[in-house]
Amino acid sequence: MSFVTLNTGLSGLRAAQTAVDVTSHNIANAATKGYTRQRVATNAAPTYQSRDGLVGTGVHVENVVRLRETFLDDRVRASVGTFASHDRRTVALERLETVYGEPEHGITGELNELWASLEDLALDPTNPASRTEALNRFEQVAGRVRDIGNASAAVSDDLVRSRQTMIDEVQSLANSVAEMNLQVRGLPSDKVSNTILDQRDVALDRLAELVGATSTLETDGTVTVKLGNESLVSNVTASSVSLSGDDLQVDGTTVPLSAYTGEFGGVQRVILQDVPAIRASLENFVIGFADAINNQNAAGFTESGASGGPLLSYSAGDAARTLTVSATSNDQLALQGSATAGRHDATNAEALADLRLTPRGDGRTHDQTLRDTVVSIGSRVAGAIRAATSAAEVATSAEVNRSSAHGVSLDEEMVSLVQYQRALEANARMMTAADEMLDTIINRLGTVGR
Amino acid sequence: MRVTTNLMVTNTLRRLTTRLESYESKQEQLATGKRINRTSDDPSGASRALVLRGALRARTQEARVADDAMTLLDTADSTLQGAVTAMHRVKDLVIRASSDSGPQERQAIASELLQLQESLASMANARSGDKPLFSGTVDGAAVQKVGATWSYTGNDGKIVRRVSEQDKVTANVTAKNVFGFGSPQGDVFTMIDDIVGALASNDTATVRAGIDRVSGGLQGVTNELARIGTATNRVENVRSRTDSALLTLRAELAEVQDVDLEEAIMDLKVEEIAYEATLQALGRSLPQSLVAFMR
Repeated sequence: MSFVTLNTGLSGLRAAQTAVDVTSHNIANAATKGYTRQRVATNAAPTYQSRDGLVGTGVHVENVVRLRETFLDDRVRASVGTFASHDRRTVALERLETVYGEPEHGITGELNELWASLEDLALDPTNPASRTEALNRFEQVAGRVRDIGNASAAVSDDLVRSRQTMIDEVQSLANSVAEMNLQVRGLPSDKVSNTILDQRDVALDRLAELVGATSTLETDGTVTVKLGNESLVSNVTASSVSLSGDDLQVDGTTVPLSAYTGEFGGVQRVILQDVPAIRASLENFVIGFADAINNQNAAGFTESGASGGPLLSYSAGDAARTLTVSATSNDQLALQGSATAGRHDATNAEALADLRLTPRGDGRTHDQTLRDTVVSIGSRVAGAIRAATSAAEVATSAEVNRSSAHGVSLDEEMVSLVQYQRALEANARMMTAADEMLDTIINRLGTVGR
Repeated sequence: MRVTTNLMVTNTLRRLTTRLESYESKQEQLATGKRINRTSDDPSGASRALVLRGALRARTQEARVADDAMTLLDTADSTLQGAVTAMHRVKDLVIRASSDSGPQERQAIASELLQLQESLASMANARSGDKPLFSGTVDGAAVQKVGATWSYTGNDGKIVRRVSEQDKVTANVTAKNVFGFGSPQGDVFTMIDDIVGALASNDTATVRAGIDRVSGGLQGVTNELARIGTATNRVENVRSRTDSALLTLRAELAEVQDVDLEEAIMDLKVEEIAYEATLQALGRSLPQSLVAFMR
């Protein structure tokens, strides 16, 4: 009998206390974002040579282990960037779609009414009410086109503004990752703060969500963050991220659009691909429509016998936002086919109304061209929603898997708590037992007959 | 799989959101009565709906145009019917005057002829609304007598009505053609003037020749009347086709964009039950924890 048992009990007591501490830390952080559950790693303490053989000397707390699987992180980060990109694009395109207001409140409805009013005009070209109505319909179409042009530009401007905010966030995240790299570089695992590692992982998650940045864990404990081929964070230095025109630059080198995703990538795709295409399509419609109307009106003659002038005006390059009805009075509608045809002649009014059926240069009518425009937006939105939905599936399943591995289960912690509490009690009992045994040996031994 | 506390909360939230989203979309469909509320709901369906809406608006307008054409043609038709009756009377009178008749009778015939001429002239200058019926596209009178000369003061302008995408119908005839201005036998009005003059001078030969001229004039009126009849027929045909096209288009549009109400109500009910079930299931499972069962 020696004092070893007391020490063995003490080591168990201490280990149980540490384990209870870690358990309570886990429970406290059950709802903390990015928290990774921790566990006490113990092993048996060295043995000593007793008379009868090698006897263990208790338990040794080796480390507080952070139960993190890097490959699960990689899966989450790879999928979350794609999802965020599609999601952002969906939101932006849905705003554009709302701006166009089809099929209920769009230009197509106004255009239908305009054609009908032109046919009415052909029924009775001398009726001032019909003329005013037709001119009003032109105003309606032009006004709707302008509203849509302006609202689309506003959506695009919002997106452009949000870009800088995102870039600033990327920069500050990269800086903090570099700083945390410095705090953990080269340290042995039991000296590295798990809290810093957790925070670094949260930053890396956000970087993946923002721009689809990929990260690699190096052997010295630092992480390298990359955007395409460019290093965002290498060892303990962060590169500078900036916007040059529409280009994303890392340390002055342009990163191609194909190399990044994330929220920023989604916004960039809308700004660089969707908005210009939709805008060009609308411009094409507006220019073709206004030119056709103006040419046809110029081919006719007004009631006073003068040649018709232009009815609509726009400035090239920004046709949708500048489309206006330049005719100031309904006398400027040139409805007659010739200067001498008489005021009931409606040849040119019919020709104006017939523009509805007349193909444009590309063989499509005005109605078809406009429909192509609005339906293409719908298709883009539907495509983006589908892509976002399937990306969400992948991202969610990756996140579920990761959270399942890394997250805190309160039930589990409860069981651990009971386990460690019992361990503590048992170890304390062990020490009491050892104490009593020593008491027996010291105070009672050799007192026979006293 | 290991189920952690955070996981349960996230999943719960996701399930509720998904359920609520599809519940909301069903509700929107039911509230608006439309299956397609924005183009992205069904881009090809939306495109079809836009085509149908355009066609529906165009057909409605064509029906309006056809109605307007019918009004013009009907007015012209009834006016010309009157002209035919008047011309028959002219012919009867001339035939009577050409057989032996006394000066008294000739004078009575002459004065009736002049009255008929007047009413024919007013028919030629008839208007529909503020628009002259038989003067082409000119605003003024179609037939005028200046001095002793009758002349057509309209033009050859056509009032054309596009009653369907392919059909254009000329909805007017001119007094020039109706009353034979520029024809070999001369216009009806000069013809009557000539006969009245001949009656006064008892020029039997001219009166007799007048019978053929009047028959020619009558032929001219009936020819134009027939033309109006043909045009009316065409417009009527197209109009009834437009009407049935409108019915078909409406049905088709409803098929493409409208919600089947019974189905939508059923769907909404199912969504509602599913949402409630989700809530109940979550309400039972989420608060459960080992903590509650330990001393």
